[in-house]
Amino acid sequence: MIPRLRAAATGEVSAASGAVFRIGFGLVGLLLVIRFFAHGWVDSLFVDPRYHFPYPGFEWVTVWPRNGMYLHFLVIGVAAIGITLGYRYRLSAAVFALALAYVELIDRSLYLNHYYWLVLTATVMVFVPLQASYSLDARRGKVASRARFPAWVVWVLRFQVGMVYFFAGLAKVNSDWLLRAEPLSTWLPARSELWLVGPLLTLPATAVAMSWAGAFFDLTVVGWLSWHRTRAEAYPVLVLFHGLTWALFPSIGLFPLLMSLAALVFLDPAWPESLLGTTTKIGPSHAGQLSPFGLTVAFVYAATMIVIPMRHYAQPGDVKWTGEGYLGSWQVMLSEKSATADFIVTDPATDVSWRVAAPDYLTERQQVVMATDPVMIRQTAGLIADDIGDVEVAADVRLSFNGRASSQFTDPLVVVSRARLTEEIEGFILPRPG
Amino acid sequence: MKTVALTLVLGLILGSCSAGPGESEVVTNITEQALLPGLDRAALAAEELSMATATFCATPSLESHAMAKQAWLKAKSEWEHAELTTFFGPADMLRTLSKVDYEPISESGIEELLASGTTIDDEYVDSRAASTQRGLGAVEYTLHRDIDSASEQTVCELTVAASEVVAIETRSLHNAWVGGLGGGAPYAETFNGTMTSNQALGDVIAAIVETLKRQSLFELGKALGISAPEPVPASIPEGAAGAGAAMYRAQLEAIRETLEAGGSDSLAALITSRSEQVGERIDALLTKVIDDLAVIEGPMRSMAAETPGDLDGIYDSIADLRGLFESDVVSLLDITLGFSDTDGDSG
Repeated sequence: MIPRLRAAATGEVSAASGAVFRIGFGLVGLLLVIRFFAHGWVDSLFVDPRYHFPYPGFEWVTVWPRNGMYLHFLVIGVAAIGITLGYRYRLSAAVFALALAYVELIDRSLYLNHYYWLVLTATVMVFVPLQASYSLDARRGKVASRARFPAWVVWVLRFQVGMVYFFAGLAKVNSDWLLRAEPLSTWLPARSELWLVGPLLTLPATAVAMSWAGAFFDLTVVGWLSWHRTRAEAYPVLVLFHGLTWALFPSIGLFPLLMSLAALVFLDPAWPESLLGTTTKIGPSHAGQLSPFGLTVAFVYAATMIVIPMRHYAQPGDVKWTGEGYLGSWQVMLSEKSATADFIVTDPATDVSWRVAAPDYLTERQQVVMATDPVMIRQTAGLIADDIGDVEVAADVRLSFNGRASSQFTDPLVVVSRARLTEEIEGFILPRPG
Repeated sequence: MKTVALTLVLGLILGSCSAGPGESEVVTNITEQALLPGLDRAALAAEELSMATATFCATPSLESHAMAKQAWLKAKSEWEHAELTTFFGPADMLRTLSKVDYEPISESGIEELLASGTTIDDEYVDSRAASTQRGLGAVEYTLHRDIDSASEQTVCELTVAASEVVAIETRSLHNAWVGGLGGGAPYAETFNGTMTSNQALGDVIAAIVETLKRQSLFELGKALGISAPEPVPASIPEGAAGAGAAMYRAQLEAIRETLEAGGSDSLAALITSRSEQVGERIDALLTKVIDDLAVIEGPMRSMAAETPGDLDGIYDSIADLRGLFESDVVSLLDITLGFSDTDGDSG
């Protein structure tokens, strides 16, 4: 079994689809930077806020001065161009991964699933030879120009794309999504003005149908794309699915484009050549073979990528309510949360308590995101304690979750300001209503 | 193909019969039956105030003084009714709030201005006076002196000029909504057509949430010692007229008008169609708090200082209303307050 697997992994396939993956990835990365500049997000998300919510353990990751932040994004953009052109490809991928990871780590309230994916994938790309063809590195002779590379390269990329769909589908297997059709039952009627289909979106049956279809799609699309008999039909369905998602939820941004491009890696590796009517020249393919060390690293990486999204199953409560194990678990568009957050300050010296709002130096966006996230609620309580001095702070948050009437989210009697940089929520977050 | 078309047609028919009004009808009704009439009434009342203060200063008498104070009360009340329109739209660009109703005013600042010997006219008030020295707050301060000092020339200059600026600015805001600003499209058209209905509803709900948050957490809560270590009755924005309760009532009635504009095609009907429980709760709380405020006769600040327990129920109702709008209504209508979906990157 293992020898056969190893033989299959090292067998040669066209490097063309890998090159397309690299080019598509780089262009999306460049588009990301252009959007940040065009929308003024460098200022509004990084420079303007007086405070950023740190990730525990990454408090040292802080925002640069304004020019530094613009330079930082410029570096990401240049790295994206490098990836696209295949110019100093490994360095470009490494710079892109590190620089984007730094940006992501500055502020927890900015966490996005697809930025996380971009960081992971860029890191993987450092170790896979996607510059083998259609690249400046190959043209300049910096790497051997090869029209073919080992099949494991494509496998790695397929795993990278496939895990998003699979875990996003697995996350949909829950009663809210399948039985209550939430949050689509809440979201779709708000799109009732869409041309032609708008009235359909107000029907409860539409939310139910779309919930089940979405779960089925996510859970099975990798299979349909992997099977050569259904591949040709599955890819247009995938594009349609992402197109529909974008039309309904335009604020989802780059995700539909990103996944539509990335999923091309499931097609026959030679599809670009078939499309262009060119033929693959057989060339040497010595580089990129799997060493035992490389194989071990690949398995450890794959195991980690499987464990991270599933770690929340080992914790009590609904991950979408508690937030425990949420990051990196591909819970894509599964929660509708709105909250009212006040904080209760107590002066231990006098035992006098009073209620305050979140500090007004948190931006409106930060306040809204914070109010639904236990870790950021705890951090905000710490900020208030710092601002006032010698007080204890508890959080009084009511949360409306996936169409339910609002209910108490935090225990207002539990002081949370003492240990702010912790993911601990026990005794502080109340159970989710049924 | 036939099946798809049939399903689509059936869906359209069923969709058009689905429970609850459409968001675009709701926004149209809010614009045409609540926001624009409210702004127009505020502008008319401000113009009446301007005339009444001019009459008082031209012919000071107990009667003209009382009429001017009555006109102020009406102008202030109508302004509070219209205030929801200042949370979004052209008010920010026009700097309406700083000229019409900046709070709190500076009594010492006004006294300094009066004693400075400066000629106080419309131009001075509009472009040189501080926000804390003009607007409805300044007019309230100057009008509620005894008749002799209220009719002194310098005091009258400020009263008349500040009233005139309030009238001009309120009308300007109304004009920007119905006629446009600097050659731009009327904001009512932007609000009721260019932006999506869901975005427009988001602006309205955000304005309601801010109003309720300010009333409960930042004003009444502090006055009662709920959101401050010690009670601070002066946190209630109430001047010499002692009309705090009437102003709170006006703001809450404006919320009710906004909710009910359009009857069966109203925001209230839309919320109820998504959750009967939330719709009924909002209605019950609004009715209760408006009724509770209606029976308050004296200044709220005095009540907060002397019988704070009498205001607890009002605070609780407003705080509950805030929670309902900020968490339940926002969620039910899929409204984004201040940010985009957390799975997206549209900022």
